[in-house]
Amino acid sequence: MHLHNIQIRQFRNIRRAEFDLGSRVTLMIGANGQGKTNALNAIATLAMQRYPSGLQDHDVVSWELEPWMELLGKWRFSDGRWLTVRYAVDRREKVRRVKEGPKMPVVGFSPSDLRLLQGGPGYRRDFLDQVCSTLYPRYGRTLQLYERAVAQKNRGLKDNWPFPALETFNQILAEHGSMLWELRSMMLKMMIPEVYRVHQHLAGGHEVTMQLKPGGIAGEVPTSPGDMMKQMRARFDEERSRFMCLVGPHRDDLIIHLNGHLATTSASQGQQRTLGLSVKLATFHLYHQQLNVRPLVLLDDVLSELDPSRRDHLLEIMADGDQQTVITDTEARWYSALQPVVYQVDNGEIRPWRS
Amino acid sequence: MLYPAPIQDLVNELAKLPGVGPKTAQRLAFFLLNRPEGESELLARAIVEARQHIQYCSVCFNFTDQDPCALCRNAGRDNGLIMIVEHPKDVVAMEKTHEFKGRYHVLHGAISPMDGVGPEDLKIRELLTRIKTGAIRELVVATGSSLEGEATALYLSRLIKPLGIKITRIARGLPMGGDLDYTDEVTLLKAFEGRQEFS
Repeated sequence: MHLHNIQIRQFRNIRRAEFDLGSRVTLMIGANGQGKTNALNAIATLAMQRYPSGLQDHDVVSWELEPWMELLGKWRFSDGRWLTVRYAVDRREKVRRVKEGPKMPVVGFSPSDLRLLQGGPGYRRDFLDQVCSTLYPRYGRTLQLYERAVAQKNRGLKDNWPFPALETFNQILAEHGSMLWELRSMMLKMMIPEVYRVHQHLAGGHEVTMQLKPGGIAGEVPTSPGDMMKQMRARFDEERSRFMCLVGPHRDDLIIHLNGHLATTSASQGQQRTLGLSVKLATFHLYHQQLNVRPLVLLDDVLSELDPSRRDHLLEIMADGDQQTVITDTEARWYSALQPVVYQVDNGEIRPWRS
Repeated sequence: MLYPAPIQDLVNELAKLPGVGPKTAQRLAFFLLNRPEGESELLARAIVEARQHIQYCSVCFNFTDQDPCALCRNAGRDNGLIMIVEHPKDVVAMEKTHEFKGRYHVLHGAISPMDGVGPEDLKIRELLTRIKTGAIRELVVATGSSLEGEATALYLSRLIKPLGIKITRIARGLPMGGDLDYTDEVTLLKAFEGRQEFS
């Protein structure tokens, strides 16, 4: 499945743009702040039929002059069929959203991937959520219900509600929370060997391990609602005095070790970068294996940060396979072997590039 | 503001209605002003009369103009079977089926800490009194399938089970005539879990 004939209207600083993606590699060149990342986000939104994490309507659609946006494209299937895909938001009266066409997983690489190692546990949970909701259709809705139950119980704890009423929220939290834990564990079981394999390839000789640390619990991840209920009851007094839910997937962390040491604190910047890259590449392989499609790959300004051998490795993977890749950079370097389709991004306009 | 004060007051009051934003409130206000005067008087009177004459039924806590309400006075209905719902409109919805012949109990809301609604703000104490004074065979919990509706259902089940009365929850699943591919994953999963053998 390949995405073609993209039309962007009113997506951040891109007022109007029409361009085709190459069936392999597309390169977007431009100085900083011209709209390269906006173009990538528009492509990702169209492919996934939702915003990439971190984006919301008010980031994308301006309130003032033109409170709407529209993205259009066409998927080309391997049997030659074409299917239109559309994602549009109109905020003129109330927010109306139109989603049309198939969904395609996207793996985006960007310098902020480093937050997976340098940032707090929230970034690692976001990553778990992203991958799980791509792999398991019921994950997203379960997470939504779970987070609402957490907010309700937190509020009840703050307002000093009696135990019986809060206990009913425990039961709901246990139902959805244990499901989230089960799916996160299932996903990591497949992901961890992939990360190990990719990391061996990128930086042989180093041992990387990953483990889910369940929120508020010492030891094994509980996967039955009953187990989670027990754990919540055991810490209820503490929850009461700290006014918040202490047990559950909303407090998970992903513990990453490199050569037996905690990678978040003791790995070097370069090692962390390689680890981040390994995790993202493993995600790509996992989507490919599990969903039997080659995800769209978006590389936002990452290659210049990598040392030559890792860069070559990444480019090698991009060249080897049927997936579409879109790369942004400030200049057209390193890429000639990939024979990319090249565009110039300049102040929100996207035009074919002439060297 | 640009409007004369009486119009602005009307807009402000209309904007307090659920689902009505400032723009819709303006449209409604101008609509009312453009209609014959008699019409707005009818509306105003209808609102005042409804407020004056509608009260809670002392048995089921549905809205009524006569206490007890028509449903509670109806001798043909089954006293042993009570359906518990969140809102009066749920009673109307259920009554449209013409199939349920039991009684109702209206809670007037669902447990939601974020909205400041706790069990004691709902007609739960009244329900317990009703259970103790009547011969109840079965309570059907028909609160909504929202998180808060579920929480309320769980709360009631924990409260009432120890009393030794049968308490049931209405099923969750596919709407009739609904296509599988238009149904969200969690609903489908619930429908699958609640599957039944052909009898």
